[in-house]
This record gives sequence, structure tokens and C-alpha cells, in this order.
Amino acid sequence: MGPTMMSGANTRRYRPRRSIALRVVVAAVYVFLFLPIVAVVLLGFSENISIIAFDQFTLRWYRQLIGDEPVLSALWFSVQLGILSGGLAVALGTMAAFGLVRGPMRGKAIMQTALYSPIVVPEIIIAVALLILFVLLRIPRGYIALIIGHSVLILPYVTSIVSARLYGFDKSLEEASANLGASPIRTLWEVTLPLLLPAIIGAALIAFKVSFDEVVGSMFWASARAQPLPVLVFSMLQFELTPEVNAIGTVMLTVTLGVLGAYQLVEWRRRKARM
Amino acid sequence: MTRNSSVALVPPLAWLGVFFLVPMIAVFVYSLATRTPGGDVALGVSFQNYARIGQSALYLWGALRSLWIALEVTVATLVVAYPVAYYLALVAARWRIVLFVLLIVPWWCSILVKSFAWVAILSERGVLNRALLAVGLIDHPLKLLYNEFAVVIGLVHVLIPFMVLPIYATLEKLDRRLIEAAGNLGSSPLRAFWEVILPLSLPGVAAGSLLTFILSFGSYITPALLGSDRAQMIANLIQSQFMESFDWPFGAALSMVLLALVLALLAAFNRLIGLDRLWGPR
Amino acid sequence: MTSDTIVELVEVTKRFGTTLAVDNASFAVSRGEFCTLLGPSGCGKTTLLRTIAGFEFPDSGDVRIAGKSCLDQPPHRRNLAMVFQGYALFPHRTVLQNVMFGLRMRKMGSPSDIASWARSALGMVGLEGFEDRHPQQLSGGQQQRVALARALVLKPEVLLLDEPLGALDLKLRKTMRYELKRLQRTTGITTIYVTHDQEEAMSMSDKVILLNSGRIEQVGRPEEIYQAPRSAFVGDFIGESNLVPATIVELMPAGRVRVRLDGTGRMAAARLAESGNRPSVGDAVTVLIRAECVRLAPADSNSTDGWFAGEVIERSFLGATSRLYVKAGGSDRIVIADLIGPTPPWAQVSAKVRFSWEADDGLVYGPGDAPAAGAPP
Repeated sequence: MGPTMMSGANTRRYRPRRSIALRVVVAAVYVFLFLPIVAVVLLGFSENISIIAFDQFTLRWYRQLIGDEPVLSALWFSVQLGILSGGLAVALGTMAAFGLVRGPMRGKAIMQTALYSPIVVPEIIIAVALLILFVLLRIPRGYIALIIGHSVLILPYVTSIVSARLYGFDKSLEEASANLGASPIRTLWEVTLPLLLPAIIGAALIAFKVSFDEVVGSMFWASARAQPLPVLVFSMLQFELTPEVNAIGTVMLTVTLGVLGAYQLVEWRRRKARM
Repeated sequence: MTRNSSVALVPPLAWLGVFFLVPMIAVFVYSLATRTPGGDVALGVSFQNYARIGQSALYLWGALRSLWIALEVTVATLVVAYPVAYYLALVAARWRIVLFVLLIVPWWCSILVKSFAWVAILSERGVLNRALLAVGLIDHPLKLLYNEFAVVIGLVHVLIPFMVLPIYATLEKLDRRLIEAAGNLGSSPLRAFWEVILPLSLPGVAAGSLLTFILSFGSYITPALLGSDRAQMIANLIQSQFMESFDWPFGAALSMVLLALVLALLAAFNRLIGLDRLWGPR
Repeated sequence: MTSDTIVELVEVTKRFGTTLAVDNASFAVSRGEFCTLLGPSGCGKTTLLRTIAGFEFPDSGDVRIAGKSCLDQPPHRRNLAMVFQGYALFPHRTVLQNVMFGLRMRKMGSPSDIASWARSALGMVGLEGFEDRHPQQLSGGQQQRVALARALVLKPEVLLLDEPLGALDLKLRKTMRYELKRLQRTTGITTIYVTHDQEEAMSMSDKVILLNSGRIEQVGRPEEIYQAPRSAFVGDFIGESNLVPATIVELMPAGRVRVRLDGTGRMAAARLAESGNRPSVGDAVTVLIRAECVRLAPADSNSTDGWFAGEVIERSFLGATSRLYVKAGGSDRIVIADLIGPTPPWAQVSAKVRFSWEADDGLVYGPGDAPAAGAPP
């Protein structure tokens, strides 16, 4: 932890001069970071559309949103997609975590590189590559393509989160379980997975978020009938610019920040239960 | 038990093998193919796509522009992010957790939302111009949108957390006693920073810069929404080949060039510093 | 190997990489016996225990339970129960559920039977009323008793304990030693106990197996081990001892020898230890003298015959005894002497004293110092 209280006797403790300039700069950066977010939220409640600034408070755009059928079905589709591709990624990523943490040391570096490579490669390339593959395999763009593509993008995140938890897992619990008569599968079911559950839930929430916000890949893999919300929003931005996008944006932010909140809650409860 | 566990790697590796590795190979294969007049793809071994990239000013400039923008973004982000990382690691005490959360929140928000927010802010009728006009700093609205400036602003905004975190991680682990020792030996705080803290934070700076550079170099959304049509980045060029021109082999070649550049960067980083710093705990 | 033998290890060897953890270990444990594997860190005792439990597989040799090799049985099929060093209680289950776990896995009865057996097991360790708590809410000593109940309720063939008392404070440890021993006697369960604490091993065990660097140094009852250590290592590990290098000058009848002590060059009489090695004249040997066998007296210039001069350089008051560190005159050697009661006034620090020992109390160990080949059970 950083230096905390400065006691009189401890004046040799490193304490950078209380620099006003530093604080101002940091504050400015934070303002900069939040500016667009605040702008979107505020504009979503603003009446006047000809002036892009906050005018009069209104719920007009939200009313429009609620009646906007394509937007609602895209939203619902995104939620489903997040759950399905996230679930797939969680299953695969948990297996990957077990393989990495519990498996033999040889070749681990290569395995790790392989499992984490989708993060390193620019999204546009993955989008294009899978598009080509889908054409070659005659998988039509749409639901299946999106689930597959999203799962590939999400997999490294899940692997990382579950690995981190598994790494510090107390193996003696599993040994005790075996000693008491549980077969390896029963041990997995009765001991390992229940204790791993908070990490898995956390990973699932992250997986959902990554899928929900995914744009580039979705653009390449979606079809007219299977369109996640970000793709719809993107085309709205290119063709018709209505303040309704601000309302949609605010909804998207609410969903993902809600997920973030849920994740922090799960983490906090897990940390409490440790003791 | 180790034997059983490595079996667990099979499904995810198989999945990635089919849906990641094979596609990458497919891109490579396509990059060597050609497009028939009818719009189909003729497989073969031809380097004409790569030749075209090398000979065409449009695509060469596109690549250079992307590199240049990525460089601008990386430097700007570093300048902006370093003080934040410094403050979080070495100065902030009770506020650290709050500030951390406040850093994570924008990071978590969709890049799409953030980018189109900048459209609203930077537009001629947007927030920034109106503010500058109201204060009297300018006479007429500045053209801040649909140009390189907007793209850089948008990317910096998105990538600040990616730069802050590695630097923070490095600074946080610094042995305070080194800094105290410098102070005891008579260094002013500024010199202590320049000669002790900054050099020790370089691994974090390097990791953050690498991440920022790669992410901005290959970015699509932000330049698409905030950039101009005439001056595009690589990802936009690739997209237009696939979605507009339908010259997939050429688009594949562009993708391979992008991939090669990214991998070259990673290889250089690994040689100099070591990639395992990016993964976290093994 | 009698028909009473429950657990038998036959020439078990185990390597981890290039390290030899267990080197050709053989021993047997009888039914109802409390047997302890004792030794310093890294001696292989935990490896042996884990091999019996099935968590390690020997590179060579056999492990037999009730006469049959168990090497083809995975851990969950062996009728053993183990108490782990960290207790390994399941944090996501209540105390009662923890105790019921093994009964459930082995399908030993109906749910209501299992619950009532678990309850009485908790009663046996004195934890009635704790059924619905979670392990994290219990103290170390209580957790240890839950782990014990969880093992005992299965009525296993053998109970294995891996340094179960290590994390407890001294007073609690001593109480638990007594409790464990009492439980073991009541239930009559064959118990294999692992510890590095020699006091623990000696006070609780029917049989002690002393290990050093993967090899069995000696097997026997605590009294045997104490009074007739087979090697200098054993003599040194148990109790407080002095090890003095010397050279054999003369072999005498009845196992006596005369040695020249290194350093001072003085002569002394001693007795050959029963280590199975017969040293010859001129061999370099080690003489082992227990601290309580060192006789101390005030320095007296008159009768120096058979006594060595020394000076007290440090003392420790241990309650029932006083431990004096005496620097032997003419060398750098420190001799440790234990006296009953508080330090006598003539033996305060920097006092000049003289010390010696009975010839029979000085055990001589040969150069090889290897344990007797084929140590009997």
C-alpha cells in the first residue's frame, strides 16, 4: 500500500510535495474521461435536437425507444447472445483454466499463448477471418456465426479469471474429498466446482459484457434478422442521426455498468466468505 | 491427476483451432488468391495483392497514417495517463479505491457509445464549440470533427485506462526505500522522480505503450465514426474491401499486413522486455 | 510380519525429479498400534504417509493393506481416513455436513443414519452444538477436532494423521495429544502419525519410525529408541545429546572401548552402540553422550583423573531442569549438560567446572553410521 499518514516522527517517509499541479492534471483527466459518458446521458434527456447541447428535460427519446421495435428486438437479441456465447465461453474457458493450472508444465507457455491469442490479434482481423471461414464452411451469417465468433473473443477473459482463482486453490480439499471416498468426478462436483463458483459467475458476467458491447465482429457476422444492438446503433449513426441514440447509449451503459456492479458484488461476497 | 487435467485443454484448444487458427490460415490463403471478374475467389498463389499494396499510394498512405495516428495516440495517452498512474500509486491514500473505480467505469463503457459521444461533443454545433464561443475564445466554430484530431481524441479517451494500469502496477511495486534513499542523499523531489522513479517505471510504460499502440493501430470504430472518409486507417480500409468492394483476397492481404506489423511489435517487445508481463499470474 | 499386521511397506522408493524422497523403506504396522513417522523436514515421512493414502505412487516397492497390495487402488477406494495438516475442512459446508461427507461418499447408510452417526462423532470429540457452524467460524483446535471426527466416523481400517497439531499453541497441543491418545485407545483404531516433534512422537506412540533423508534410521518403541539409538543421528535427534568425534585406541571386552577424543587428545572409556557396525582400532568414530548423563562438578585441581576441565558459558533454565553450556578446556567444543532443578551456585556463567560421564553412557558409533540392515519391525 502507498504511504498513508505522515507522522511527525516519520518525516523521512517518501511523501511527494503536495503538488497542486498534479492534482489539477489528474482531475482534468478524470473530467475528460467522464465527459462523453455524461454527455450521452444528459443528451438522452434533452429536448432540443437542432442544438447538440442540453436543453430541456424530456423523456421523449425514451418514449420513442420503448416504441421502437427494431431497437427493442436488437436489445433482446443482444441479451440472448450474451448469455449463449458467454455460457459457451465460460464452459470452454473453465476447462482451459483447469488444463493450464493443473496440467503438466511442459508446453504450458505455448498453450497459454494459444489460449490468449484472440486478445492480441486486432478485432478486425478476427472478424474478417471468421467471415471467410463461415463462407467456406457454408455457415450462414447470423445467430450461429455470432455465437461462435463471440465465444472466440470472450474465451481469453474467462480463462484468465478462472485460472487466477484456480491457481490458489487449496488442493488438500480435493485430496481430503478423495480420501473420504469421493471419486474424481464426485470431488469435482461436490468440492471443486462449488468453491470455484464465484469465479465462474464473475467470468460469466465479464463474458456477457464483452459480448454485449461487441461491435466489429458483430458487424461482420450478423444478418438482417440476427442483429445485436451495437450493430443497429452503428448503422443508425451512419445513416440517421437522431438523439434517440443517446437514449439507447444510456440503456447500454446501464446494462454494462449494472453487470460491473454485479461483478463487484460477487467479488466482495467471495472475499468476505473467505474468512 | 495431471494427465486428466491436460485432457481438459482439448475442447477449448480444439475450438480455437477450428474457429481461430484455421480462419487465420484462411486469411493467409485468401491473401494469395485473386478475385475473378465475376466476383468469385480464385485460389492460387499470387502475390499481386501484396504488390498492389506496395504500389498503391492509397494503401501505403493508409498504413503510414495508421502508424502515425497510433504513435500520436500513444504519446498523448502516455503524457495524460502517467500523472494519473503516479497519483494513484504514490500519492493517493484514502481516495485510491474510489479513483480506481472511477477509472474502471469509463473503461467498462462501450467504445461505440463513447465514440458517438465525441461526435456530439466535437460537432460544430456541439458542446465544445458552444463553450468556446460562449467564453469568447473563438469567433466561429472550429472544425473538430471528421478529421485526424477527432480520431486521436477519441482513441486517447478510450485507451487511457490501458495505459494507466500497467504503469500503476509497476509504480505500486516500487520499493519506497529506493526513493527515500534518493531523498536522503539530497535529491530534490524532481530529481528523485527523474532519476529513480521514471526509470523504474519504464517496464510499465513499455507495456502500456505497446498495448495502446497495438489497439489504436488496429482500431476500427473510432476512426469510422470520427474520422474522414478520405483519410482512413487500416481497419477501415480492410472493412471496405470486405463490405463494399467485395475484393476479399485484397482485404485478406491488407489483414495479413496488419497482422504482420502487430506480431512484429509483439516480437520486438518480447525480445526487449518479455511478453509474460502481459498475461498476469500463470 | 504377523497376521496382526495391517499396513506393510515393502522396499518403497520414491523420487521427485532427481530428489530421492524415500529410499528403500520397509516397515509394518500392527492392528491397533499407534505408530509415528518421525524425522526432520524433508526426511520423507509425509511422502510415506501420502503413499499409503494413495496420493503418491511409489517408483518401486509395494504397499499392502490387510495383506493385499493397494497400489492398484486410487485414494478414494482405500479404506483409510486422513487428517490433513491444514485440516482440509470444506468451507462451503457446515461442520455436520463435513463430518457426514465420507459417510455419504461411501454410501454407508441412510441419510438419517448418517446424520446421527455424524452427530455422535462430534459428541465424541466434544463438539456438540457446533453442527451448524461453518469451519471458518471455528478456532484452530475446534477445526482440528472436526477433521478428526470426520475421519473417525468412517471407522476406517487405518487412521492417518499428517502433523495435525502443528498449527496449535503449545498448551493446546499438549491437551490434544492426550485427547488423541485417549481416542485412539478407546476406538482401537490403527493409527499412523507423522510429526517432526520428537516429544510428541515419544509421548504418544507405541512404535516410532525415525527417518532421515528418505531412509529409515530406526524402528522401535520409544524407550528402545531413546536408550539404544542405532546411529548417531537417532541419538542426536531424540533428546539433547553431545556428539564428540574420537578415534578408537583399544577394544576391550564386554563391548567397551578406549577412545582418544579429537581436539583434546584425552582418553576416555565408552561403550559400543548396537549399530551393527563393528569398528576397529584406529577408526574415526563418534561418541554420543546424552546431556542428562554429563556429570558436572565444581572445578577441583586435585582429582582431575577422568574429569575434563571446562567453563560455563551459558545456561538455560527449563523449569524442571537446567541446561548448561560448558566450553571444554583446550578446545572450542561446547558440551551440553542437563541438571535437575535450578542452576547450582557453583555452575553460574563463567564458573570453572569439571565434567565427565560414565563409560556406559558414552555410546560409540562407527564410521559408516548406517542403520542396521533390514531393520526389523
